Amino acid sequence: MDIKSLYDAYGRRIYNLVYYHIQSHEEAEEIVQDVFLAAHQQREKFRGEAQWGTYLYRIAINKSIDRLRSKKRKNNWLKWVPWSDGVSKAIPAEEETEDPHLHALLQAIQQLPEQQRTALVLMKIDQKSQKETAEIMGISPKAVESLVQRAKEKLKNFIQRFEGLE
Amino acid sequence: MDNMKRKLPQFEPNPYLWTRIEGRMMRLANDTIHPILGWSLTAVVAGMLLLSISRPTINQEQDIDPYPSHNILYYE
Repeated sequence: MDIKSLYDAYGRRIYNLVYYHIQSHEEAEEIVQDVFLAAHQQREKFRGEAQWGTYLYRIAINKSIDRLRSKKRKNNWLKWVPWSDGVSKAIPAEEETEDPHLHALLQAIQQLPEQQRTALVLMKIDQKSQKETAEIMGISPKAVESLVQRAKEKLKNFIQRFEGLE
Repeated sequence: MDNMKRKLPQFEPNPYLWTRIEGRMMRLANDTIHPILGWSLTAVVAGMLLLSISRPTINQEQDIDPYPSHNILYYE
């Protein structure tokens, strides 16, 4: 399977998965480029499309988490720099959405623990089944169910608090 | 949660994203060709240098005069 066909089949899905983790279009594009470049370097390794799908999702998740962790580390350092304007925002100002509900929801998703966020995005945004999500994340379907349940509860509380503030 | 589902949109990537990936793949291919060429050239030059050191050249062979007629001691 050539990389162009892979991009046509998975590009948009991978982009959304990364975007819901990183919440910056510019950085999401960078990561998607890295994902398909890694696939290009590993093209001899895989045969079937199913194998490719799992590989692309895994690499996208790992790269998104790495990026978020390095951002967090950078922010921790920035706190100690007197001339910096403090912690950089999770969502860059130019990408702040007009819709306050969506903006609040995106922030809430970003505050979820890594695994809960990944499970939620795969199942609720990418519409993957519990089994597929479990395979991508390398955990059991039961664990996926529990992760999504906890993520939903947290988001529900967040939305209720947000709507109460309005 | 229904409210959440309705609220979570799907984003479209930049239409030029594939072109950028293609460009990076081409650059990567060039980057892998250049080192190969570079190392091959280095190996050839190093090999030639080693050969020139270990074996006397034709000129050096000619320099060894089996009949040193000019050497006066030879005739004495």
